[in-house]
Amino acid sequence: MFDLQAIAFQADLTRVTTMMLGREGSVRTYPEIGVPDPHHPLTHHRGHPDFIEKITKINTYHVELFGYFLGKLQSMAEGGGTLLDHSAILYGSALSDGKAHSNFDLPLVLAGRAGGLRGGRHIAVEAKTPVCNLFASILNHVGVAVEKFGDGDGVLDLRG
Amino acid sequence: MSLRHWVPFAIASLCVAAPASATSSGVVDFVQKNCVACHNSKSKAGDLDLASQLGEGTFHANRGMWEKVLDKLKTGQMPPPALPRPPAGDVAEVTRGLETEFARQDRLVKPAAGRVSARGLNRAEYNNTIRDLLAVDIRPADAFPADDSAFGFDNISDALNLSPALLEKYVDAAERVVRTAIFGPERLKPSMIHYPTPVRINDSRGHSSLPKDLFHYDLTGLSTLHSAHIIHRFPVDAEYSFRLVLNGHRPNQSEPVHPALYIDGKLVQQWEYDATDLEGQIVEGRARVTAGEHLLSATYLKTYHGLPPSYHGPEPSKRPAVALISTRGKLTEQDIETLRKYGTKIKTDSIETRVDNRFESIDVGGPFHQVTAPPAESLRKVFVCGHAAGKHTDTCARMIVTNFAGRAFRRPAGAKEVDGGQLRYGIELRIHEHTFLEGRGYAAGGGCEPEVGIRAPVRQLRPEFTGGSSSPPVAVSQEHPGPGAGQYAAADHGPWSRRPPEDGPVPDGHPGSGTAHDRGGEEHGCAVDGKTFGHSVRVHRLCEADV
Repeated sequence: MFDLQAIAFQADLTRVTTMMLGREGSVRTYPEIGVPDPHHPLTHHRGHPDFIEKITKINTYHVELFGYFLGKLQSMAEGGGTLLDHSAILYGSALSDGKAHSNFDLPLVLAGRAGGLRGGRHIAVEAKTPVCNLFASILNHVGVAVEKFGDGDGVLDLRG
Repeated sequence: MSLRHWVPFAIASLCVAAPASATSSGVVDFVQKNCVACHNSKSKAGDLDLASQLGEGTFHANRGMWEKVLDKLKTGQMPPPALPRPPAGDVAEVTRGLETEFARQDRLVKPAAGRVSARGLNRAEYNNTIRDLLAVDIRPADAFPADDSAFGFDNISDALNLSPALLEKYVDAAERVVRTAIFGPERLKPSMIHYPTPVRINDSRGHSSLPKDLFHYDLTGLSTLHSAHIIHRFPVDAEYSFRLVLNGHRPNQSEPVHPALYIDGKLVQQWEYDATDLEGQIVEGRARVTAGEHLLSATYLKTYHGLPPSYHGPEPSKRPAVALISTRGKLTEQDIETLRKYGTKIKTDSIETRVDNRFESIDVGGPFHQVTAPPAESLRKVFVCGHAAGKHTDTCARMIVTNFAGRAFRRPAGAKEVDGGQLRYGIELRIHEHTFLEGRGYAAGGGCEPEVGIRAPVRQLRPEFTGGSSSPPVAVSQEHPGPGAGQYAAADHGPWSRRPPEDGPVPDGHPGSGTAHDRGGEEHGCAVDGKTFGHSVRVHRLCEADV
């Protein structure tokens, strides 16, 4: 699926894609990385070391796939740079703690250099900032001028 | 007597009903007696002058007017309500007379129904025709391009066009269908089809979805919400694997559940699964299934049995009513061990109370160990000569083709069609789109039959079918002998189509591979200039070698 998205960008078939690596409550097993248990129950690990080990494997696997995707985009030349230079790719989860179903302090990765995004940083956003502020910021970086988006209340400043 | 009374009387006296007859003269008499008083050139009631329209041939010349007269009489609108009516019997005779006259006229009309297009088969019809002709149900038309439709219908002759792509598909379909009928089904590689079954039972804590009566219910589970049903088309008689992915929950300390698989309403396999968190748990099995569509049902047997006693259901669970792990605070050593034993089969952080066991998906894999022999019914339909394989004679070919062509054309096949040099050794019958091409004429030439090969070329495939004869095979080749010469030329020439493949012989195993050369015969191609027939393809005739 990441290959399809990369090709779709490369051929300019679309400028926007979204993909879920696993649906909510996914019961997919990952025998290919040695995890025969269903995904969702593992996230309710309650601190059990075995569950944590397995869920770590799954999360690592997902991030590796994401890295593969970024690598593909970076390998595609486009206008003096790479396709990744002209993209903003957001990876993350809508829950920070699956066990607690907490949607605060979401772990998110924003890759690409669209609209002057600068990488190599960790931004600790002020507590309780709506994630839609980040979406509004991304929109502005890819050339869609908005003041807010969804239930956000502004545009997150990603400069500096 | 006042004038008022006199007038109706006078008019009534005009209505001396002459005996009306079924002949035109009877109609004329009736009209003269009952109608022309008002409907004449002077008073022209309703702008209708009947008096002057009673001459010879009036019922034909003024058909439209007389149809209106008939209508008025039949519905009783005439005579108008105020005036005295002629006897009903007379009216009936007159209307009958008019209807008879109209029917007589209609019978004499030469019908001009217009041009009827040669009728192509749409995909559904093609599949059914193949099945009827050869008892082969591989449904090749499912891979055809979509039918050209018109006005929302896919069986409009004029709309069903033949494109080069479709003709190629016909050729390929013919190959596969005949091979299946005579040599058995294609050997398929196993694959798996995933059917998500997204029924979800909303049973949140504190709000139960349980039925009121837990004792009288469908013990098979087939009609409960806990079950899942899909229809799958099995390509061939074979063994198939079935994987049921479970989902949902059972209350803490329930007895194991019994997921089961039904095929066409018959129980095929059941399992026992011990878990109260069923999310993502899997049971699998295999079964032999015949080709075709079958209903697969995943259910839970006795789904309300085995619940904890507090649910007051049948056969309550005998397990102790204690939580399997602690539900608050950090996991104890005991908890860790318990979770090592049960894995994700139990809830880690609560006492489960829900009864929403359901299915996540049904995955069908296969075919494994498939049947490879040709269907008996197909062989019966093809080899009407009654001889066993290897024991055919020269007359068998003719018998087979005559029978087949007759069934395909839905009329007896003519001797010229059967014998006209196109068929030599009846073994393999290629089925092209038949009725569509029937009846089209083509420029003859090169000794080939002026009919496009519909049931077309019969090709020698195996010596045993001809008793080991080494007679030259029938050529079924293109205009250009050479690569792919075992295939049909159908749509390979002309400005609308591409040239035949020139990049090498057809690879082994591919349908059509193996030229006549390989069979030790002499291959001779012949093709005739075909006429383009109105669409975008030019068809070559597939004809016999000139040997």
